[in-house]
Amino acid sequence: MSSNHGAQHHGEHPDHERLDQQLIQAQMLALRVIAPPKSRIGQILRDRLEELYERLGDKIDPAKRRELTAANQDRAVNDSESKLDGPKEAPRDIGAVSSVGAPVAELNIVVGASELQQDSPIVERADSIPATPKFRSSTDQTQQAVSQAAQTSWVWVLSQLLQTDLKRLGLEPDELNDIRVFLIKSEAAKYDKLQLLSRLPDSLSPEAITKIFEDIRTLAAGYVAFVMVEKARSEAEAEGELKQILDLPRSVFSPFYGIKTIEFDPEDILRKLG
Amino acid sequence: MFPVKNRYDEVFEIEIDGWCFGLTNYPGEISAAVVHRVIRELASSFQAAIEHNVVFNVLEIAAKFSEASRHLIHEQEIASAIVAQLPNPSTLLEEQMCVLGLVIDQVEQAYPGSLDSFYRRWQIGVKAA
Repeated sequence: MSSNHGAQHHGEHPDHERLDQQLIQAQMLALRVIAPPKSRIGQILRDRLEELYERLGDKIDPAKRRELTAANQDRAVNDSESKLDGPKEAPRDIGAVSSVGAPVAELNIVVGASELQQDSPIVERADSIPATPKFRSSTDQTQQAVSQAAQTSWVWVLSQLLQTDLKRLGLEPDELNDIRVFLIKSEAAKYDKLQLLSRLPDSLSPEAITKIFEDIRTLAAGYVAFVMVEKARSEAEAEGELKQILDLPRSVFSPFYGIKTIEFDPEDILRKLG
Repeated sequence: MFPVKNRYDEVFEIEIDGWCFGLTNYPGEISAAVVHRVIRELASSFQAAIEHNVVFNVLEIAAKFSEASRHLIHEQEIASAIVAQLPNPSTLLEEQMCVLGLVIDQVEQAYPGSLDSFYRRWQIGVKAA
């Protein structure tokens, strides 16, 4: 984690402490935006945030957080006066994130991240982040502007933070994939709003994934049934009798376990239906 | 080494081959999400394998799945995903914990840090419980 890295190698330097705070803010955003309450991802992030705060000796002091947020806000306004045409919001506590428009406070995370020390893993991400955010949420933008917005929005920044940091938090590839899907969907929502998107690809649709998965399971079931029958036959031929009946694999056949056969008379049902 | 119960090693191998067959022969396009879904579905099988004292080779399975998914996902990522599906040691008997240790050790040798990741998840699981 870059914030730990900074705290360990650079002591109590105020800049590094501030950067740690900014990373925490970014992760808090991630927590509120991505992790639903009571989810394991949320739990991991919360644990991680607690650990970071303990390391910094800052026990989630709301006053200090507001102060930091306000300072970030001022700096963001100064940085963006000549760059951002969008509306500037009043200072507010961190975490109140709009769904599409990236407020100044959140965009400031980009500025903050670019100031990290050179040996931090975040640097690679910060270097690739454009220094001049140009996000506009009006519907009369060109496709090029939308593309730029996708590159500079907080969703993109968070995705960069998350993909590295969450691996270190113990999240596994499938969970990271879920986050990626969420982030892509968030981006897609912008395109959808501008009527540049007709539909989401199948790879982002849970229903499509389930359908493909069930088809693959059917293929697997066919293979397993065939191989097991062949195995039983070859053993019977070789030794005169089966050594032992093999169990059926759980993952392939488990959906069909426990389903009781229902006997019914179709005529009776038709009669009842009238 | 503990004796394998009920020839489960054979069942397990057929099962893995079956899923790989499904992935390989699926006529349409598959995505990373589908592969992860398959691996998630195998959680009960990994548990069953460990309960039957089968020391399966995670790296070999990861390589098979990577190939079956047309190298859409790197072997290391699949290996991590498999480790994530392994059962919590606190739910296992002592003998099964040894088997689990042998399984994870192979991954740890190839990709250092896997054990840490597993341990962290296990701790989180305990906390959540």
